[in-house]
Amino acid sequence: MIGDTVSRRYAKALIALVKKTGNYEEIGKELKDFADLIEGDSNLKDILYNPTINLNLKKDLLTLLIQETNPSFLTANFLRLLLDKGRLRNLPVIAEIFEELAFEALNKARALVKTPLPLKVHEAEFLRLKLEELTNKEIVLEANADPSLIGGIFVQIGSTIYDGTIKGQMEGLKERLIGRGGA
Amino acid sequence: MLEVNFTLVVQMALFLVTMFLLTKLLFKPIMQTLEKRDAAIYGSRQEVEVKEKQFKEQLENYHTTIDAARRRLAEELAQKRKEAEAEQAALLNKAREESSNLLDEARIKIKEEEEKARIALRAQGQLFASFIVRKLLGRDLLQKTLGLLPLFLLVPSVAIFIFPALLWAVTEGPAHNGGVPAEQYIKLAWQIINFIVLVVVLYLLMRKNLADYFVQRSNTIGTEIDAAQKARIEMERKIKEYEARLTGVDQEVARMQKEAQKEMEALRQKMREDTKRVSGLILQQSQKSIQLETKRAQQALQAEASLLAINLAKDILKREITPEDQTRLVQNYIGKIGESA
Repeated sequence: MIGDTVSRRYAKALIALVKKTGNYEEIGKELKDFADLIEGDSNLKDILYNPTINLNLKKDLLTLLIQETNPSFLTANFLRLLLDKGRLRNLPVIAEIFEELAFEALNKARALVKTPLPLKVHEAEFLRLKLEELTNKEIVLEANADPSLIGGIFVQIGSTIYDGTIKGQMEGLKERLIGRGGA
Repeated sequence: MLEVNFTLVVQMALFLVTMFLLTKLLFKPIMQTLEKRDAAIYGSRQEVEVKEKQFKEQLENYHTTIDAARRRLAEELAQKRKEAEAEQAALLNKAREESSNLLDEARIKIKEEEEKARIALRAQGQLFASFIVRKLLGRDLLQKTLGLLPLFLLVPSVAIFIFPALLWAVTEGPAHNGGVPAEQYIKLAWQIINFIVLVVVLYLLMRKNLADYFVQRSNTIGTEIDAAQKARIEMERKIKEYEARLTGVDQEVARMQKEAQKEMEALRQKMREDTKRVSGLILQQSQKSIQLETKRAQQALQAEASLLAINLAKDILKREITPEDQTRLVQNYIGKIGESA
């Protein structure tokens, strides 16, 4: 929780800087790629996340990684700041919050969509247009297939959920019938 | 010199006459009065004491009898209370047992009904599931807490009359003469006169005081006699009262018995009413329990039936849903997202 508050503070600061250039997507992608790079390699995590290891050693390693991945100047300086403040382990959360704040800044929203069978292109487009009309935001669909839903469609945009699945309707029906029987 | 001559005889006679007169006129009436007084006072007192003793005995008898009766009645009452309590406990146990039996029977019946209903619900579950499927897919497939005063008065009286005669006889009489000279008769006569004068003077001087004294004394005695009589009367009254009570002790005991019986009846009646009320409550409680258990069973059955139908419907849907159904469901829901928003 404290970690999330700290992460949010760093993400907000970075967003304020990116606002000048507007390249939210690029910075967001670089943060996400770099977080994936460290999280994906246990050796890198053991060195960069360990407070007992000499800071200069970690700085050298980070420099090497930056040279290898070649992120933007802003992203590279932000990564060095995180290392100096001992907050590099917060990078994955910062990247997620940054993306969320970037979406707000760009008047965009991510819609998580689940269906038992893959969504057809015209169904996805029809849904995206419908959600954009409903939210007045540019919708980015993230569609996944989930056969346990039996049938229908599940859509989540932030904390808002639209459940049109057969599994959801069966659970609702079960709660009403057993809830009424228990009353 | 002390000498014995004829004057002794005269003096004796004089003494005897005086004694006779005093006895007749004074001592005897006084003694009679005293005796009467004593009889009146002490008699009354003795009588009162005797009566008091009788009274105490009677009182004691009375209390003994009454106490014994009370104890016996208390024991009887306690025994009857115990019996009534036992009866009450038995009745309550019976009510509890009946209630328990009622509950057991009801539970068995509920169980049987539950089984029957379960069987029927299984069949209906199929129908309900079919209804759910039709509702969800939009097409048909299947079918769910008084003193010494007389002695003091007698001693001074005898001294007043006997002492001058003896003094004359001892100091002047027979010691100075061989015969009886005339001057001695004259002297004797003067002495008699003196004595009479003395008696008269004494009478005149003391008459009023003595009379007052005796009147006062008489009044006092009268008062005492009255008091003694009153005490006797009071004691007699009390004795009579207690005799009456003793005579009536049987009735008293009978009354107590009657009251005790009445009290016992009232107690038994109250206990019967309490028992009836409590039994009623037990029965009511059982009925409530039966109703509650029936309701719970119904609810459990409803839930079971619902789950059964839902699971059946799920199975059917998993098995029967087609890509076309999926396309129709997705398109219908996307179209409704705007409306529900």
